[in-house]
Amino acid sequence: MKITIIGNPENRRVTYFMDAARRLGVPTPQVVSWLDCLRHPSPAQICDADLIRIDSPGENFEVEVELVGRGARRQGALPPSWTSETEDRGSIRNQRLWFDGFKDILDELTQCRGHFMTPPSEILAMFDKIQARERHRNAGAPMPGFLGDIDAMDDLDALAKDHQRMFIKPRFGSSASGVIAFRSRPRRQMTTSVELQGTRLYNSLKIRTYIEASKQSAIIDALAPDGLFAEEWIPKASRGGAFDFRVFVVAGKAEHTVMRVSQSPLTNLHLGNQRGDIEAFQAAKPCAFRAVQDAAVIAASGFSALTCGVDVALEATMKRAYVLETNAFGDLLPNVFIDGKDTYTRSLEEALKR
Amino acid sequence: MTVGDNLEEFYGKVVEDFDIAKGIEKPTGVVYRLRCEYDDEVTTHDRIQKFARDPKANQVKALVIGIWDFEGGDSSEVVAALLQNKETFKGLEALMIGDITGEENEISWIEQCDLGPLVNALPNLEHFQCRGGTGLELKGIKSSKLKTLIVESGGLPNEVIRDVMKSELPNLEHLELWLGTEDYGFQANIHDLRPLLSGKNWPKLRYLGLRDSTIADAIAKSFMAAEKADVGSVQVEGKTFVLTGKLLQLDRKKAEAALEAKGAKIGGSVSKTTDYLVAGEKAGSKMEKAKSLGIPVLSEGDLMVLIGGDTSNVSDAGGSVLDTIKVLDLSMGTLSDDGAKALLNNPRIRELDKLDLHYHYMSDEMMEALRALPIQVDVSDQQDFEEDPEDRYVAVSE
Repeated sequence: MKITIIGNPENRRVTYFMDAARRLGVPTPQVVSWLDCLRHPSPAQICDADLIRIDSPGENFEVEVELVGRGARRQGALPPSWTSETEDRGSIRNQRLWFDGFKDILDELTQCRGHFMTPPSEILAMFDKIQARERHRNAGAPMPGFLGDIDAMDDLDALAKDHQRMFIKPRFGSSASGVIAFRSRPRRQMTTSVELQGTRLYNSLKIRTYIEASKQSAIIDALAPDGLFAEEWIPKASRGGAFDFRVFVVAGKAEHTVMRVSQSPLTNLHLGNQRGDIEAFQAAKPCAFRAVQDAAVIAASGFSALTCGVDVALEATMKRAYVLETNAFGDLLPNVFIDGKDTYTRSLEEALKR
Repeated sequence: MTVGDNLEEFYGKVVEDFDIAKGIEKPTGVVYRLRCEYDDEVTTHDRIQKFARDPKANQVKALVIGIWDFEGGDSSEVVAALLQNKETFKGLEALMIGDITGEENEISWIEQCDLGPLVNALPNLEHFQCRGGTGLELKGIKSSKLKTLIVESGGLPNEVIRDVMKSELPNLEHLELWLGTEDYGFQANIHDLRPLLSGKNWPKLRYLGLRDSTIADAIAKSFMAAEKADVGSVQVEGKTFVLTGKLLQLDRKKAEAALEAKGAKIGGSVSKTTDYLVAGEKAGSKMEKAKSLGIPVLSEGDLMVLIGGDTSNVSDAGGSVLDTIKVLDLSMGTLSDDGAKALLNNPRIRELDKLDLHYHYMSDEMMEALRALPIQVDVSDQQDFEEDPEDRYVAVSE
């Protein structure tokens, strides 16, 4: 039994997976770095194995350069000039080219002989939020209503006439990157983790609210070319702050679940929000908790993936659950165990059964 | 910041969202919340109508109204539905209009209407609470039953403060106003609030909360007692008197003439050369000035003694709400050492049972000093007190 993980070796995601393999007593997986994979003339060759896990290419600048360059070539464009730039940590740029590059390499990897834990096509379907919405809809998962694409500020202005609050999301962004909570009243404001420096955007851990029209336009202008759309803003349930859930679904079953409590409209855990007491919540609101897990399982059924991480919100009365997003690499939930097993152990355990 | 959570408890009972399919199962066991829901077409006023038609509706003692419109309509339809069923609801003892979190609708964006008629239409109401200052009015409130009035806002308009001051609530024990910020509709200054601080309107008041305020410092300072002159030792001849505020019994011109006839000089403004300030009702900036200069203050009653007249109908000026209350709550605002010092040095504060100052901009030293007071003091949730005063925010505004 040969297992390969494609990832960034320095990343803790890879470490957790290797730990899981050790725990389960399977032969040590082969680690293929994204960099090697991207630079190899026939990547399927070096990734070949009985079981293949594709992990996140994120948090590595060299990999980012390769992916964006690949995306540019795929589009017939020259590699973008920014490759000569410095890392410029946290910069939000080239989301579209990055996705095109990612798609290109994943397409190549489909030639691998082995069995994928999550096939490339499914990873792509989750990464493209518009495509993911379609998958969710076909699976029958409840979602916030789609309001429209935003190609320019005019589109946002038009939407704002009918909707006083909405969430604006980049089509190809990962996690909370570039997500904006928009309100048109009592004054027009955008709450986001995006930090505007001149005309450049950065991911920040701090949540900011932009009130000036010029800054709002600068942010929309910078994000729109890479794909931007608006969704209804579901009034989330609150307990010590608004909250939602990340539900890890493995083999069609909702397992590790984290409650994310926030004082801002953005509940992503990376943004310094707290984890809520999931056991206490489950005990107090068993029906609501079941609705959350059910919604996650339905969303996951829209993809042929062994695992995924589904973000689910409850509306304020906690009667109904809504799927916000499904994440291909949504299993990074350190220190959350079910029967003593983390998400990585459960993933591998299930994969070995197949 | 915004309001984080919906009510879990109200009027001593657990709050539960009303389920039309189930109807009223526990009319007095829980408190039902009626609100509209995302993805649900039943409006809040429809829910009120359905609730009122339930045979057990007239047993309900407390009710919570949550969000009525996700796109920002005002509360008038909700109020109309409640008024339409006032016979059914006449047993209501507690009512909250606007249990709405920031996720549902920001506090400053909640649109209210005149809730005065609603309060007056419910003869057994003891607890009335509402959230949202925009569009809010509380016209002509008159009730001998009401004990608790809570108005939560991100910015309370002057008009509402005036409505509250004009209300006739002889049995009010708990008055709580979230004043909020100028950005969201608060316009009052400390002088506008003075009638509220005089303690005259509500003889049974035990709790006063002026919360979430950008002028918390000024409020704290305003409790400082004026230097009360001893009328028996006042010398009139050759002294400079300044009259301020509204005199209830005396004609101001005649009073001034009477003082002058006794050899006094009448000053137009308070300064170091002023000997006495005569303060009528709603004495404003002159009172502040007199306090800061330590100038003795006389009441209208005192003045009548000095110039000779019937004093039986006159109460003392400079009365303070501290005479009646046991709990003072200035929490959630921008209180700093400046205002806290005035509380610390005010001996009357020590006669309270509790001083609630949580969420504040005081220094560690000041917190320490306040904790040493012989009463219960809450100074939790300290904000960054070294922050530029311009960047100090109240707890709830948006």
